[in-house]
Amino acid sequence: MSHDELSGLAAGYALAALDTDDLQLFVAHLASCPECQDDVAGLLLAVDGLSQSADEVEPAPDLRARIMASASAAPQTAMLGSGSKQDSKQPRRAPWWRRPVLWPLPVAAVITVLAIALAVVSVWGSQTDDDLSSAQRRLGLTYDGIEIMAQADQWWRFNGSGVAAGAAGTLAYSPEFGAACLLVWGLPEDDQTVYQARMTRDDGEVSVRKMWRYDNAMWLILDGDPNQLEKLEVTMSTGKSASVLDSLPLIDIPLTSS
Amino acid sequence: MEELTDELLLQLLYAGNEEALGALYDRYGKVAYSLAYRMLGDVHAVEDAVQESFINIWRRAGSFSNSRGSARTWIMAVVHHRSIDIGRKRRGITPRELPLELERMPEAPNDTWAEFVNTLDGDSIRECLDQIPKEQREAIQLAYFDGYTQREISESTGIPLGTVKGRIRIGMAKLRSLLEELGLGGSTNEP
Repeated sequence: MSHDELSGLAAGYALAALDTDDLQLFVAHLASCPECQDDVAGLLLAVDGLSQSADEVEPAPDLRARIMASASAAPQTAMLGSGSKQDSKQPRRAPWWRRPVLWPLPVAAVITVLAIALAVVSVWGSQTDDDLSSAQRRLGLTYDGIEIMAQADQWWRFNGSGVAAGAAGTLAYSPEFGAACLLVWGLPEDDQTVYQARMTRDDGEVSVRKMWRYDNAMWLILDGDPNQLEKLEVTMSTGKSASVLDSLPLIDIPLTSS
Repeated sequence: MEELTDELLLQLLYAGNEEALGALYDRYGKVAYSLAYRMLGDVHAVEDAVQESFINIWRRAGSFSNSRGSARTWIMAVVHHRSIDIGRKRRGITPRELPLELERMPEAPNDTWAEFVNTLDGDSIRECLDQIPKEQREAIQLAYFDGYTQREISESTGIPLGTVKGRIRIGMAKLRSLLEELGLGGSTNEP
């Protein structure tokens, strides 16, 4: 079939109206034809328009509640999109929440991060659009944390009693992201202390980064592989002038993978 | 939640946040219901379609990528396809493989236009549809709202398949052009 014949199927494709044989031909063609990809993308917006041309009908008031109840009972499906960087030669890892030993900790971490995100949203929700935009940019950090934890290959867990009784934390590293998420929770809500992560590399170079804080948790995204660090500690913030080496380590994260 | 973008809501959904699903329903539930009602015309079938669509969105939020079209397009495609399935089942027509597997959605070429289309009201779009020749409009409506394939339209109407394809192709090009003109003219966005 010529390109002209195939491109003539784009409208039927966008409308979900192609018969199976035409669909197979067109999908195979679409994968390698930028011209048809552009065409379909534009046609899909026209289809968007079509979807809005239906007369408005009000759903039953209880439909929302039924959907929410069904969602609570329906497990989510982990999707690896076609653009996944995962090496197809390697066996697919089980999703992190299905790894039996580590299950509770990542879930607690994700829930905590989400709680942070929602709390931040609630705070910024009443402010201006600029503030909201700023909040969403900051939330991007949080979502990165969720993504890192969702794809992490290595986890470290640690006791956080050095900063507060009952505090605990986790460090999750995703080689795919090339980054790790450090998360500590269980801090007193009225604690105004500013904490920082102090990283000591194998060659002795030390750097510090202030941790993000909200309510009873704090977190930080660390670029690179924590396995390359000699030490990773949480300390009280030393400010700009104080020596990063002077502050007492409150949490010494054991960089032996669990 | 209501101030968050669709994409952020989908990220929260992917992380298992049920409130994000509620927020997406608040945003798109009515338009989804209206589309399903236009396609199915029966309250029970419509509710099934919308409920199953949002559960599908909940379960598959991780498959959405905002580099491949807007969240709205994705959500409405899920609702459309589920409504086609239910409609065909009710009419005793064989279920079929639907296009637009979610991963296959191509990249959106123009975010501004996508945003503009989303702001159009039903009346503006119906006016555009009314400007399309009747034969083309009917072929598009049979395909989109009734869920028939091009061959099924040909067989049910007695119109040659090539003609059906041509009507749909030309009609959709015309609709796209009319919507673009509206967007470029800015008539609905200007104070």
